[in-house]
Amino acid sequence: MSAKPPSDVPEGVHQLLRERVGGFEELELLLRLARDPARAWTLEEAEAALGMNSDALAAAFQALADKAVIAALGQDRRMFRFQPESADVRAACEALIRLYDQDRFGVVVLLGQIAFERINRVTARAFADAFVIRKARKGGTGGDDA
Amino acid sequence: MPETVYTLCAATSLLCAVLLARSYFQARTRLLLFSALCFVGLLVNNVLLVLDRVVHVDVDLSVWRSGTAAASLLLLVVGLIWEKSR
Amino acid sequence: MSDLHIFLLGSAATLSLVVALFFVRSWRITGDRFFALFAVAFSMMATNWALAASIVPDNESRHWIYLLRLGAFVTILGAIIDKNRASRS
Repeated sequence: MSAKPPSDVPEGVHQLLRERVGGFEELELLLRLARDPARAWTLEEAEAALGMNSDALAAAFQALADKAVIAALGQDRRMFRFQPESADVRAACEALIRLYDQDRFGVVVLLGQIAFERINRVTARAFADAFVIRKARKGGTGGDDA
Repeated sequence: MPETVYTLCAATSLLCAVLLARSYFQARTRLLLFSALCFVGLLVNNVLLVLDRVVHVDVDLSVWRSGTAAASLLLLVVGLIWEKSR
Repeated sequence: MSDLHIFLLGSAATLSLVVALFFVRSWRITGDRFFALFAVAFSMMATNWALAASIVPDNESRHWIYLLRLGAFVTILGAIIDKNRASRS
């Protein structure tokens, strides 16, 4: 098995992984919730189903909720359900499930590549922004992507 | 003419070193530190060239010149490769 | 020119080329022309040192190849000015 991402990743799936999936735990959690959209999950139920460390799972739940892919339910907000903020995100999640079922390893490799690119982009941005002599007072450090 | 060129190059190196050092003291990332050190080294390299051209020192500065250039670039390469995620 | 001097010039040229390639990668990732300009600058520095190692002038500072060094640092200055102009607008 070669360590290559899938060759025909839809742009919606790529965007979903870039913008809303921060790591392997979030990926696994998202897939589990998306496969059963009507069901609400507690942290304990997810821990038993996925076999993951509870701290990592709690962080993954919060991250996905912050990115509007799942929703926290109830007054104490201890239950979560798959509830993407738009039809496009829902469609991308469904496409991700199909892609993952076809080529699980490829999706994991793709996620790693995206994470690597994200680090490089942040690093490069920090280097370029160092050369802005007068930083903007509000809204970041200036610089453009021209 | 070459003296002017090397002085301009030295001034540019100094500007880059100062800007990178300023950002390093804010953000503390390894790449910014090593980049700043690289441009300090290039500043020294350009100053040695000015000395060579203008002052005509008796000492052969060639190995010092090429050594500072190589060391500066090595620092930057190390910084680029060795950047940790934050 | 001593062997050590030539070796160090060659090392500087190679390392400078590696740095230029890193900047090309950053340009491809971010789309920011700042990195393209830095890649050009460090490529010129690499050429400067490679020529200094291979042409063997009596003293590299007294040879036309210093114009490559000028080009490199003018390009860096240009990148900084361009970046600052863009951040203001």
